[in-house]
Amino acid sequence: MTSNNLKVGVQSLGRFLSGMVMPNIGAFIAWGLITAMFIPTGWLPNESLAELVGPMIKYLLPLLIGYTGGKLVGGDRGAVAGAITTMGVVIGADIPMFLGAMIVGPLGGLAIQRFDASIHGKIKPGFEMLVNNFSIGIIGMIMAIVAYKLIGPVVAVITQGLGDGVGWIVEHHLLPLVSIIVEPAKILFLNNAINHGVFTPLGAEQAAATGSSIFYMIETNPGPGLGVLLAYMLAGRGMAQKSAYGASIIHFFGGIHEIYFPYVLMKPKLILAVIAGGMSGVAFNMITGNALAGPPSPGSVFALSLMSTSAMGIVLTLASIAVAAAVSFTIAAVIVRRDLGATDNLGAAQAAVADMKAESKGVAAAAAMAGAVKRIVVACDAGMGSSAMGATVLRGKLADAGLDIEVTNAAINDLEEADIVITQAELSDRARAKLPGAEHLSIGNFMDAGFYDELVARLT
Amino acid sequence: MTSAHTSLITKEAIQLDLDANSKFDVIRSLCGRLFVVNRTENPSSLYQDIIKREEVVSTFAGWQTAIPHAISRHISVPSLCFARVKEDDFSWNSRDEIVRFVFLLCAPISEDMKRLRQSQSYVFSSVAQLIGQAETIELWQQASDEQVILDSLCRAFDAWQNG
Repeated sequence: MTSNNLKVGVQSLGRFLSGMVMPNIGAFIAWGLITAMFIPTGWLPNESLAELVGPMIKYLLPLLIGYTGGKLVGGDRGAVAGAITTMGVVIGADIPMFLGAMIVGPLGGLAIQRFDASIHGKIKPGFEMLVNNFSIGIIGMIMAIVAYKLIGPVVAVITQGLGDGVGWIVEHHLLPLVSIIVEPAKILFLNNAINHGVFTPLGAEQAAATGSSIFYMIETNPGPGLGVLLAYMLAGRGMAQKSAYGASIIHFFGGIHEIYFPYVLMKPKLILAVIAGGMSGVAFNMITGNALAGPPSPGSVFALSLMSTSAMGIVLTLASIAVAAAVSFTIAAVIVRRDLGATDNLGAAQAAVADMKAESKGVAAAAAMAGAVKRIVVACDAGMGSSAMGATVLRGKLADAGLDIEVTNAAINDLEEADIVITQAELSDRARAKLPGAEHLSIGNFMDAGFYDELVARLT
Repeated sequence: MTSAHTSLITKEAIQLDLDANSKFDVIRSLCGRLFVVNRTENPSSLYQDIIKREEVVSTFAGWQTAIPHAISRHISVPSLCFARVKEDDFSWNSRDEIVRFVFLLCAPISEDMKRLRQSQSYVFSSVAQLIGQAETIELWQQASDEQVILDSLCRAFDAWQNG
């Protein structure tokens, strides 16, 4: 695989992950607010309302991700199959199954999509509904069982492996390196398993002997996550940038770290930023001898301050958060900014000029590469008017250029799968919300031949 | 000329040299024509549905053409109307949107909307090809018989559907 293909693959994976996570950010924020407010150590402890916390993170959020993942692959029917399949991993594990949901949700969607393709045109009139309903039911059942029996145990092995890895690092006095495991594990929502399963017992043992422990500060330091969110706020764009403000408050003051995980999942390269931030925080605490008296829960700046050993301890704790945040921010900002101005290694200047030119005509400056584009959808409100005309024009131009790219037209509400979506500028936001994983181009008039000529030139 | 598309468009659904001052006049007139040919029992509500779609984003298509359309409960079967506007300087929205030919497509709401949309996409796909042909535009401009317009459209629909 060439580096170009690898880059395209990573970009595609990033878009796909983003497509699963971004539509559900609101649900994460709702869960984060409920958790920050109502858990026993929250701002407004309420035992009754706190009962929402567990089911939401264990069931609702993974199911939403699985549903969305299934939908990205198999449309509305894929979404249902994805949710059913995700239930298999949710029940098969004791931890929030986000990783599992991101794997099996799309698999469920793929299963039903393949089935639908295999029976297309073969169903006798009058039996469509029967076949549609029972196919999802039967395939969903099989997929849920497979997920339950296979994925759950696999994740258990991953968790065990992480725990063993941390134990080895601690034994060999290489504590800052523990972030190499801890930070990625957090992003996969294994943070509680690591914190409560590994660090809290280790910390309790150490605190019993010395009165405090650095282990309490490894997973709970909000600095790395804060750095990533700050990077999105100051160097990002679009919905991710706008939502990062609220997320940073929930994360930093509320201590709900899960709120920043989707921002890293959207750009997996940011894992480097949180690892570096985590390592810096741990190193700072090792050098200064800073430690906490007890496990801070949740991992907010307030809880960490309260658990600090003295007035100087509070200063050192805040400093360790600041160090971790600064390092994480510096790296994350570079990554976020570079992705925004994505230029394709070889003709960087040429691509930049093309992007600027495209922008001036209302074309987004995204940098899809010819080899990666397999399907273009021209979409409009009704799905049978302007989009049909636009698709016809584009299809002809691609054929003339000898490009084998599928072009279809659709209603925005029916958007399911596409590498590039073309809509009139007034409808682009709707299309983007419907299919966030695709590249979106805005056109003034669907019969604008110049627009299609530029697109074809870019894809050639 | 006979065609499988007579359920979509008939000679009666074609208006030549329509006297109109605005796109609202054109759409209203075409809705009235659909009432006359028994495709709608409620032309007023159908008009509202088309305008509602028009308000989302203009259906000016360039090449002197506009393609108002709607999926509505006030149309009985998929129906296409054609109007050639009388005035040469008739504009759809703004001065730079000069329109001479208007295609109005209406389709009834279906349980399977996706399939409905796909099944009707051939209409404007064909129109897109036609309006790129100078000889077709000239034919439409000079036609004095609705049958000429009807034949040209049906030929294009047949060609599209036959691959």
